[in-house]
Amino acid sequence: MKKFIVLSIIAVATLQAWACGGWFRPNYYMFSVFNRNMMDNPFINETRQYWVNYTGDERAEYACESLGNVKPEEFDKSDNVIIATARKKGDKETLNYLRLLVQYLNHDGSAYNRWDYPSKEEIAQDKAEVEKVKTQAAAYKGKKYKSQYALLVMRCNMTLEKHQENIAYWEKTASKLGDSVYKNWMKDIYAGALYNTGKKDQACEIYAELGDMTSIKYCVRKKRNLNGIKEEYAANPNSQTLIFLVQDFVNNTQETLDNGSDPEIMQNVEATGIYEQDMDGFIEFAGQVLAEGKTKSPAMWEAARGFVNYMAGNQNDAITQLKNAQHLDGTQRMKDNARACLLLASIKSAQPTNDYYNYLLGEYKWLDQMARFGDAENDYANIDMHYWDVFERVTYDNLVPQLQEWGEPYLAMALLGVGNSRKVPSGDTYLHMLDEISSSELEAFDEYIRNGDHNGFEAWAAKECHFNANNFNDLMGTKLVREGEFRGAINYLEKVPVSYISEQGISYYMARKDYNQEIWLKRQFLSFYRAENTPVKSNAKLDFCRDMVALDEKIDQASGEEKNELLYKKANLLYQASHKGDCWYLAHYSNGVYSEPAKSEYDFIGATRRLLRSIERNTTNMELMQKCVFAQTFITGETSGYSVTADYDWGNKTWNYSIDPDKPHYRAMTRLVDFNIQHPELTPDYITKCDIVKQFMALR
Amino acid sequence: MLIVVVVCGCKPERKAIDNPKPAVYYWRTSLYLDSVERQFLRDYNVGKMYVRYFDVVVDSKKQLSPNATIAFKDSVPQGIEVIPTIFIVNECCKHNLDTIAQLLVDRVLKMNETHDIKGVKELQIDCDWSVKTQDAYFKFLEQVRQLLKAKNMTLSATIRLHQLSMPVPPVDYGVLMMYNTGELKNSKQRNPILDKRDVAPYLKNLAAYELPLCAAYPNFGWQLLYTGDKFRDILYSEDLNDTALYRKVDEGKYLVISSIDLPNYLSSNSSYTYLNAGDSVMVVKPDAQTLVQVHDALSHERPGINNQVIIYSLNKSSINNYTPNDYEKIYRP
Repeated sequence: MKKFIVLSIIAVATLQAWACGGWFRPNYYMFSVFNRNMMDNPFINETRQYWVNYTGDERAEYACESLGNVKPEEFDKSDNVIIATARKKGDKETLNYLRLLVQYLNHDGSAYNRWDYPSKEEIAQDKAEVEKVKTQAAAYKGKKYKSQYALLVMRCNMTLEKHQENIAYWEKTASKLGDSVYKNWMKDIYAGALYNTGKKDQACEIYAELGDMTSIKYCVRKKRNLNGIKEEYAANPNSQTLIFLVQDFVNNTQETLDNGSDPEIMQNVEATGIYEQDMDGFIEFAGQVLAEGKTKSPAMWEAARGFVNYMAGNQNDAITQLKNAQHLDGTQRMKDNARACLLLASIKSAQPTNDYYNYLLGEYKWLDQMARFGDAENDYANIDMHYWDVFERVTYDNLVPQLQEWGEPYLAMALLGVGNSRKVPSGDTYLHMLDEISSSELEAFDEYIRNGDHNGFEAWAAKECHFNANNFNDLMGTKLVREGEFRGAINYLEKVPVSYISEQGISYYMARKDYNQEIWLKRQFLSFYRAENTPVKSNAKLDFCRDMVALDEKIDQASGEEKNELLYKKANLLYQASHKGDCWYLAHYSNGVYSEPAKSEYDFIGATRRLLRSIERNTTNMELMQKCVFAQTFITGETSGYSVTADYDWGNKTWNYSIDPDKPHYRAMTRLVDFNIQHPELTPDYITKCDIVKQFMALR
Repeated sequence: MLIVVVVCGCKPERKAIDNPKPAVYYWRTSLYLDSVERQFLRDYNVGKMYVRYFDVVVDSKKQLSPNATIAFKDSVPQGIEVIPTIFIVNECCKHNLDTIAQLLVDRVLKMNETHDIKGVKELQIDCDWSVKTQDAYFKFLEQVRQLLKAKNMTLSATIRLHQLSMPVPPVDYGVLMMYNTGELKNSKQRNPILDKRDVAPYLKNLAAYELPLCAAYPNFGWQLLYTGDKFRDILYSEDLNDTALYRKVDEGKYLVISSIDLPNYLSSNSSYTYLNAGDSVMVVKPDAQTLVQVHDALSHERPGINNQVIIYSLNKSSINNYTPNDYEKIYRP
């Protein structure tokens, strides 16, 4: 089962990860008539769930995979949660089954690659153990674990390479058991036995039917192309393998169009290249299949040629065929597939009419149902993730760009917000966009969401979009802080509950850092890896804005050295709020080494430097002057540094260093050193003992 | 009295190996001989089989471990001596190789015992060691040799051409590998399996090499996959006559006409090799004439080296790359 990211319920908090991490969107295949959600181990999830239900303990999910680590002789004392639960329940039947399973799992299949190679006796004993397990499993007469014991019999036969016995056992016994995950597993082993006894085609059919993607891919490895499809069709126009091959072909075509020029990506996603000639050939062949009428799945063939036509740029044929496919014979999945493909294809030739928006409304509501987004957290094992993929591909790669082209940026944004509320993997795009836009654009978006003159689709998007008063007020307040509008920010930030802030990623930093700390005298570093949401006592952004407003009022009223002291304080606060400050969370949702100021960001650092320079010039307080000189050195060091060029003198075998004197940091360092030379009595230890200052003096 | 000193132009005869016999390498993960392979053994009176028992690799826990141990599904025909051969990945030499000397010898002996392989008198180690790993490797060989001596067994090692100019490993004899002499990346210009131009520079070192030597010659071919001019991979016994997938465009050159994926046995990066329509496959194998010329040149430079010839390798798919007449010439001392 494909894993998906469960975003923080307060989505803005996740911006940090977005901004710092690399971002690679997988290619979401549109065509799915063969349930590729079953491709990863199709049986593990259900087995895990069985034991979780049995024990009532989530740990059983992992405990069932570590049963092989339990030594048979330690079984009665094992603290494996499954065994312990069965023991506690006094469930002898389960204990007996588990005991036998443990014995089987302890069969040492890896011994042949250990330093201590097994002796003839050990190999014989190991085989005898497996035989014994098999005999005991076959002797089970109960009902509760009938399928599990039957599976054990087949696993033993597989280990002993008794493929004929497995074929016979399946045909006579296992195939007659009731449907279950274990029965599927047995059928998969049966397919393996067929494969190993030369019945490859039969094996492929079963792998395809079971959705065992790894095995089917191996089985049909030479048929994953148009010729292979033709060959398979000629042999059996209704084989399960053919369904896999057709889907694989269409998806490989999509992959080739997206990434065909990058062999590494193609290799990583296990795609084979499909090019124009193959596409044309497939379209023609699918037409032939449909005309012949031998297939029981014309819906699949029609949709396949429709979608390949779409990818080949034959828009009219694509639309006609994808519409038509929904009315032809085939499984419901095939018809749904045609519908999803049509949605995507329609965008290319659509016009922003009411009819089209109404169509989009119907299709997005349908997609919502198909994807079961709402059930994802509680029932993810049973969610068909394909429709998540469809949502992403349609929305992020196609509809949103189209809406932007149509001059509908707010609808596009709202649609991204729907994706965010559905917690699709690309959902953070919305948060990034919200963070990027200016405060006036955000206000306009808010107005659109709340009071827009909406058509049905817009109304749906506005309703389903992840956007509420807390989002808005926090974003607006933060944007205004970022723009240096502290007074204006207060109006919004006051409305944001502290609990809302506590659930954001920045709360970890907010709870642990103090913006009043002079950054050039003491840094406040925290480990990113330990970051966790932390309850905060107050919203530091609001406190900061209030402090700034109060400080500005005091500055207005102050004069002389008192004013200089207040300005010095302000300089520190401004720097703290910058992207280089320790308290970057005051104006940003994320930060990293390579962060740059946002588009509309106030020049916090420039303002800080100007203030410090001004204080340095105006103050008669030498101690304050020294701090300003030092602070400027700190800032220029953080933001630019100076460059030293080293050249080797081959004649004298010495190194020559040269420094660029025009760099701000060089100038700041020069002033600092000069100041220290002139006023040694005012020079604190952190400067006289500073390695960087010493190094600079040596170089100068 | 005039003493005439005659300077003899003959090559100094280095010691050849003891008990030479026509031989083959068996380099698969499962020991099973089909009728063609058994017939080959009979036809050329093969007396020794150098059987790859297992590899030693650095595992995911950075430990030295056996890997790809052979599965004995069949037995070696009676009268043929088995020489267990262990391939040690060079990377292992950067780890504590001497910790496994005892383990390795014990393992080989146990494998012989478990699978009733009798009369084993020798062990061979194959490793592409370099100047950097030489010390560790030689120390390891010393240890293994001592352990084998206690069991009345001897030790041999493979010698690659470039190793002829390096110190002699502490073994009883070496097998000079006359294959994989070139670079795969240059395979459009030269035959990467065996090219006289790649061999020639090393011939000058041959006579003086102070270790008894025999020679191993290739009978295999490679199918090399290219995208444009860029070498991508080696294919494994792919049926290039499948006209649904390949079109023959020249002798030994095929065009991929349908994209396919094939299991990859050689690369550690991916379990499949992806062939895209438009890729090309070049078939390379040394021609018999080259093989015989190299064989004869070796005899000339170092008489006795061909007293024992080992064919790499015993494999149905490779046997027919040469005619019986070619094999007669190659097996000839």
